[in-house]
Amino acid sequence: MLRLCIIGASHVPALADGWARIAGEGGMEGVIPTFFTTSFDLMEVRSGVLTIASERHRSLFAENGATYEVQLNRQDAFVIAGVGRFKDIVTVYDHSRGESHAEPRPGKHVVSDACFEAAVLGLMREDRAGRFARMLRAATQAPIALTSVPMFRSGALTYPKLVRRLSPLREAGDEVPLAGLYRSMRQRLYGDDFTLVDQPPETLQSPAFTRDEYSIGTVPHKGRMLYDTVHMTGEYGALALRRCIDWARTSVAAQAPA
Amino acid sequence: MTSPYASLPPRNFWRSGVAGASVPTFPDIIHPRFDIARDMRIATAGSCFAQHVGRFLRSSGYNVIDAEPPPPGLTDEEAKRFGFNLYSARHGNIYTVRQLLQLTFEAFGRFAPGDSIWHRNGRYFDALRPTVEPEGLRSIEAVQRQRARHLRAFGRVLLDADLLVFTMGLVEAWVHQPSGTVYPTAPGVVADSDKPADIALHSFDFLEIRTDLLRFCAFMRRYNPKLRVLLTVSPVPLTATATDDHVLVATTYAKATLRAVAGRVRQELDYVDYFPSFEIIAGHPSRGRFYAPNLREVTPEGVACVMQHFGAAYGNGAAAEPAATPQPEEEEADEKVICDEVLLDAFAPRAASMA
Repeated sequence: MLRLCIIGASHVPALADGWARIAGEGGMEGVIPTFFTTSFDLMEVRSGVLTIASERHRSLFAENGATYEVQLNRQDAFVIAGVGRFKDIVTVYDHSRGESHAEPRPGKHVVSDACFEAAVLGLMREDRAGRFARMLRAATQAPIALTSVPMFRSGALTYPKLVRRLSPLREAGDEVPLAGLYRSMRQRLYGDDFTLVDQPPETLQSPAFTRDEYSIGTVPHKGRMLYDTVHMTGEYGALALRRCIDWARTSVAAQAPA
Repeated sequence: MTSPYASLPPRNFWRSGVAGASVPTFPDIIHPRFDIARDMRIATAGSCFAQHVGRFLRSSGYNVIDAEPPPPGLTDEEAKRFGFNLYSARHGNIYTVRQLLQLTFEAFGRFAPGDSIWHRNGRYFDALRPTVEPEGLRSIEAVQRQRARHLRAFGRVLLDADLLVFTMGLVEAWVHQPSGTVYPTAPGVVADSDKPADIALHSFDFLEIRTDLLRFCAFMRRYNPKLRVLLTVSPVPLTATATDDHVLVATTYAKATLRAVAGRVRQELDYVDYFPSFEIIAGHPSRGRFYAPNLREVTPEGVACVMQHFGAAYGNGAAAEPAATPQPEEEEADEKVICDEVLLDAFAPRAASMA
């Protein structure tokens, strides 16, 4: 039996949809997932219980039959989805270029790679999901894996609101170093206390972009459709969840007494 | 016959202006030549004491130009370590007037510095601001690229500014003899020159500094006729002197010379004013109370006292105005909505959801 708790905000639904797809597959017997989904700001750990800080939200979750409490010691392993955003690197890259990056367009500042990395690290440290991960780490000895927000869908390269920010990555040929930096910064921030489970490589169109077919595409909001760049489908969720389950089996087995 | 002193105000007399004042407050010590309005675009530069001036102006709601802001994500401390958040451009400390003049000329294509890239441990440094990248850069080209952008930014600062607050700090400088290039540090301190023998100490005198300052003012007013200049002299003594003099003697010479130049140029140019931070901190009426135990660094109380005088003279008390709350970009706002919408999905009952 493997009791796996998957925690996160808006990136958990894809994993839950993914579970619906793979639950009946061979090899999934004995896997008992629990999906705990709310805003990271609302999550808290009290007396060994992961719960929702707001009473109003707890009631709402209870009414809808969604999970609003998780007894930590009844789980074998945890996955926190959405820890780390490539967007943070894009934000810094949009402002400044590191010394090893391609020649920037006019208006961009040039800084040392050390400065660029410090800026990226600073933004990544502000990640609410990361702060929650540290809170959970302090509350349980069970293995915890972190998955990041998926890379932007490749269609975002032509999306008017994003093309100015994203297209230089590709045009300048800086995708590879930036994706590498992202990975190393995540490792630096979380590597000592967590396992980092990478985005399934088959879902990537390039080092910094996700294949469009895995994206949910749009989200309805007040009668119009908003263009979604980082939320993925159940198909993606299935691929990602398989990797998490493989990790959890290995980690739990390694922790089990001989 | 009436004495010419008879009708003068109390500020003109030592007994009422200093001895009778509740030191360290010197009422009426400044008679501003011009107002400094909140919407004036202000540039700051100079030796390290100028950082205090810039910080005060920013925190008091003045419109201080920052042409080279730090990348998002850096803490203020990190940003300062990389030369950001110190002045209106990322030039580091400008200790001498010659350095200001050369940087200005370089920004406008009138000067090409010699021996401008130094190195250490396989990394390359901009010799004219070697501390802004504490670990240097990987190549000479990277330094050149970075400097070219910095010069454009500094040129914009000078063209956009309504007021330049410049703090004069030193008269000693290290000069590349073949080109006359002035450096902010000696070779070997932060990085190394290939030809250190070409670089020698020079102590600028009154005439040189006055000439440099007049040249700077005249040059900039041609490009930016609205530019005004507020001079200050740093009250921070020299860390060391490379002359034959004792450091106290060298400090006194430097500050006296700079103070004299500031006074002279103020007399000569009606768009130049002088702010007496030096007098407030270093003047004997303050009894050294504004210096840290090393008698060099200025304490926060000293900075506050200077700025209190500044605010009283120029800023109607300079009460801080609340900073505007940054509005998220449309793209950011959409993203938040999308995340919220996707999250709503979590409220729906799921077969696999179980506590």
